[in-house]
Amino acid sequence: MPTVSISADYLKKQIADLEKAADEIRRTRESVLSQYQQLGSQWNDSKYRMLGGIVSESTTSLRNIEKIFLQSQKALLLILNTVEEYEAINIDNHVMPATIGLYDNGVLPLASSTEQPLILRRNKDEAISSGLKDIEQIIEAKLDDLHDKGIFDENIIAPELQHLRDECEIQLYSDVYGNVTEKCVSCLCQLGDYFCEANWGAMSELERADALNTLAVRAGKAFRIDIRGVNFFVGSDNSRGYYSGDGYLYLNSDVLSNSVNRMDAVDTVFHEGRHAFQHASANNPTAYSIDRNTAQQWAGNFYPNYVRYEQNPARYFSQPIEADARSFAEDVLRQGGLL
Amino acid sequence: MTDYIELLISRYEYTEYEAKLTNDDLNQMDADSLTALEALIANDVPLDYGYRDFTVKMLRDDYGLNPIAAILSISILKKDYDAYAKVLKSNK
Repeated sequence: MPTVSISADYLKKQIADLEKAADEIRRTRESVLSQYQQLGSQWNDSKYRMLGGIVSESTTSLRNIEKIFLQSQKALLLILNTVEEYEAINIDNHVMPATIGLYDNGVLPLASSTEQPLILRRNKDEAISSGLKDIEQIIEAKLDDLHDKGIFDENIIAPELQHLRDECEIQLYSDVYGNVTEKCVSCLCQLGDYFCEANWGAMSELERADALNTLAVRAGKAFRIDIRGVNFFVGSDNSRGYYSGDGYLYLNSDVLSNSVNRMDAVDTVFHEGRHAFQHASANNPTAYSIDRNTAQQWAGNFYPNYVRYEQNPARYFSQPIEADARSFAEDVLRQGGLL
Repeated sequence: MTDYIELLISRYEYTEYEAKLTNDDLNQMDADSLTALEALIANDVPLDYGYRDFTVKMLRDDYGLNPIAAILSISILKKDYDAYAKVLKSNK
């Protein structure tokens, strides 16, 4: 099988070069536009308008080139992310420490949710910042377009621009940070050996707790939220787990003592992790690539339209946040090969 | 249609939203479940009322359900046992 060798440093240089090139194109475009506008103060006749058509075509072409550079830069950032994650993993040294107790709130060192290389974070921040500037320009262009069509009614313009802004931001954050489901599947696959039937059955309770802790923290990283780990509670066997908002996912302790609960344990990590994600994205939806309507539905479901299991299990089960968490966890387990 | 909303809120600690939905559901219950509900309201908890392997007592003690939710659950189990038994067992 052929191999390809890519270093993170080489990618970073290419990303920086692309940014320089895009910046150069943007400056040229702005300069052409500005010079044309300056000419208009002294020379404003039919020939000036003809020239305007040519200038418009040129700036559009330059804009398209700039977009291609920026898109390429985002694609390279995704590859860089993967390469740096790959470089950070040392499988031989990834031994689950036996120092973390069942009820210990400790987090495996390898899995720290804040552990992201500074350069990677900066590159992503830069990509977001640059993307948000692009979006402002797209919005301005759309506004001009609406005005050109004779549309000045704010009741029409505002929702249309909001919709466009949301779509662009969702795409931008998804491009830069990746799809949440795919990233969760990837973290499940990376730890897949721990959760296969044969290995899980042979693991001690402590090892199972550590594996679930690592999975939870890595899932948090995939969700881009701070999940500190898992805690276990002793409860009736129909009570499988909950998320209380303190950064920990709570699982029934029978997932450790009874190996038949292996799938339920993994499912509960992603189910409760998804609830944590829902909370975060309800406040800032587009930054988590969630559309505003869904986020509003989740926010309303959390408060005041929440139904507790003990008051009405059927309504509890069918409410939007539960349906979403179930379907999300099922998708991750299926794509991760556990279902 | 009987209005249980005030009762659900004042006596069984339902929120307004939960009470509205549950009121709709209670009014859809079968006759035996409605009789059990009336007994509960009259302070005679129908602990043995049940269907197959589920009873009000078990749903209250083992599943942590409110007695109202327990009676409602029995009525739903009668309609679709397999699906609802799964719902009851997956509190997460």
